Amino acid sequence: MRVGLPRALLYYWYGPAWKTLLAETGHVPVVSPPTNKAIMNRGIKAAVDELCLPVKVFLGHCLSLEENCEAVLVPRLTGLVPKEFICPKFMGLPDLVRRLLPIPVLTWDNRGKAFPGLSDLPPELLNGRRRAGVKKALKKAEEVHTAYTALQYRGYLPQEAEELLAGDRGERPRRTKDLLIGLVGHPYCLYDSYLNIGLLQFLQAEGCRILTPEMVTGGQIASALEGLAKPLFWTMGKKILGAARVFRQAGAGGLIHVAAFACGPEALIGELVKRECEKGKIPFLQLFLDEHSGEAGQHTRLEAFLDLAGGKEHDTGCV
Amino acid sequence: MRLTFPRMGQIDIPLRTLLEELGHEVIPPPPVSKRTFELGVKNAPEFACLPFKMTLANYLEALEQGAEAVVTAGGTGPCRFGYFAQVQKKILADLGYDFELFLLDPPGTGTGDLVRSVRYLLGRAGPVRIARAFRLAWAKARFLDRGNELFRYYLPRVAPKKAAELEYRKFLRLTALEKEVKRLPLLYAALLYNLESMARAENQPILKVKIVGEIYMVLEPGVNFHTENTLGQMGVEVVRNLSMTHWVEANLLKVLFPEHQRRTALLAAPYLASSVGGHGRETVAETVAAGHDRLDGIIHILPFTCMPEIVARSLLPDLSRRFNLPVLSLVLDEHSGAAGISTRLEAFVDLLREKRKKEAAPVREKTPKTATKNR
Repeated sequence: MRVGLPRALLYYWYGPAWKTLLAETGHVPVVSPPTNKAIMNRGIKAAVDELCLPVKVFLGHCLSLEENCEAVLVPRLTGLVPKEFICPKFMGLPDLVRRLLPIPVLTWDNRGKAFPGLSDLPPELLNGRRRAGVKKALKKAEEVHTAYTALQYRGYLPQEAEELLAGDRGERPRRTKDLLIGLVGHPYCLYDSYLNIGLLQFLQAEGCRILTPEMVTGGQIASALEGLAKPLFWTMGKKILGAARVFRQAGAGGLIHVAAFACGPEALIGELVKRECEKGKIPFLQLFLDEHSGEAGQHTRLEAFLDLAGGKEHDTGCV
Repeated sequence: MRLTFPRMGQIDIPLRTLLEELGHEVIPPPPVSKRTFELGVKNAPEFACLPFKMTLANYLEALEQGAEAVVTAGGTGPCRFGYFAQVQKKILADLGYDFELFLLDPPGTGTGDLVRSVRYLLGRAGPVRIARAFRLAWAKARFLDRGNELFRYYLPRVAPKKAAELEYRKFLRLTALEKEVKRLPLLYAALLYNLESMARAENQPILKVKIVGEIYMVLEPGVNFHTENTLGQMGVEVVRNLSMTHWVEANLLKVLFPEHQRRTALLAAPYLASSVGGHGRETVAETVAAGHDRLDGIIHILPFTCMPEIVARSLLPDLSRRFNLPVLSLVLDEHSGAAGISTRLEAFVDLLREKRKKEAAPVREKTPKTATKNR
């Protein structure tokens, strides 16, 4: 069966693993192309206005898969860690997609785990395959995921890590002299370069070394978040606030918080990250992405921000 | 220590009673005003939801009046409500307010706040007094909810609407002051008698509309532009499942009242398979129930950027088509205007009237059954 994988939302975390799982269970994974204007517009048209842009884009990706797939894989990600959540929209995602697509939506409920167990997988995915084989496939997927995250901890961006895993590129020497910029936000805001209007490429072209939350290990996050008044119950929010603290300690020249317009958890997390930067006296920029974001406006803001962040290296007193 | 708490609809009456009976001094925040909006919007993060902004402003206004501690509830997610208090405390600390926070988090968050808060709040009273305080506060909450239901039923049916409103306000005032549980039914009976005596013969069919959505926005008339009252004035009976006692039963006393959650899960199952936090699944479930009960319409009230309700909002158009049930979604924030809302409500009610006329005219049996259990 040709199973579609929308290249949006948590594809940036679990894409390679899900692809492996599908391939190992004898299906053909079809990943949608990187976000483009047509995909975004389709999503915007299909969604209610109040949804955030990443979810609209996700719906656009699903719609673009409709023509050449027999089913789409949309896991119901209630939480990835016990007693923690991601945005409530992820919990209702399969229900949102189901009302738009004529083809079946395959789903599983993660229920507080990063990976589904054997019994969680939908029957369509298994269709008569033997338990041992599926178990092996799940194990393989987990291995791929571990390798993928390990590469990111070493400083590779998700796309680079994915290409490395597939053997499409060689290792890249690390550059350390450049201005260090901490980038925090949900993975689908940071790595979808159409959504954020080429933010990463722009910063790289300006000669910045970029740190993202995906490059920080879980242990570092946990120790950075010790002493919080109440543990955060959003997995991604935890990662973002923890990463911001780690970046501050790592001596980042500036911190950029990228969030979707009207993003719920980020409204509160952003406030906490802002306080973190004020405490460390490092420049802080908040970018909100929506369907009306424009390249020129964003570049002007980024240039001004980089001037401020770069200036700090020479003269700390001016900030 | 002088205590304050967030304000939501009439919750200030039972809460104040409870805390005062336990021997605390209470400074309830003033009702929502223009200044409340201004304070909240100025000091809260831009994309925080209106409940966050308004409760922050509640605390600010009460602290200005001399409150020294805040009593509020928490949560375990995924709705942002569970993290309100922590962020609000930081914001207020930056503004120079130093106060004690008594957080009633559900057990299992591992912060120890619940034990500390309960110990302080109950600290000065003996078991008899505690039991009496809870009994009186709960009885008040019960009768306030029933009184409100009565008022919503009679408002479209009485002739001098102003008089009915005054009568209802008198009921609220007297209930707030009452110290004896056994006198509460008398106040309720008086309200019933007075409203019944004002009722007039119905010259046009009364429309029945259900309000669903986020609980704060639904219950606090100060932020939803008195939607229920406006509808009542237009001759529309408003029904709803949400109320303060319902919230307490469905959340704090989940073990004793499992039927609320079961009802929600069963009704919503074909359309939304899992909980989405907040009242998202309740919204879907109650819309389905309204469809089965053949009500005239649904008004869905949610704050801008509310995550659970947006999921529900995305599913409502399908439910609307399926049950032939008109839905009006009001997404409210600090930029909403009273005139805009009332225009939309008027247009919606016109639409419902036309629909009712069309359906009632040719076939008699098609007249919507009045669902008595919702009254």
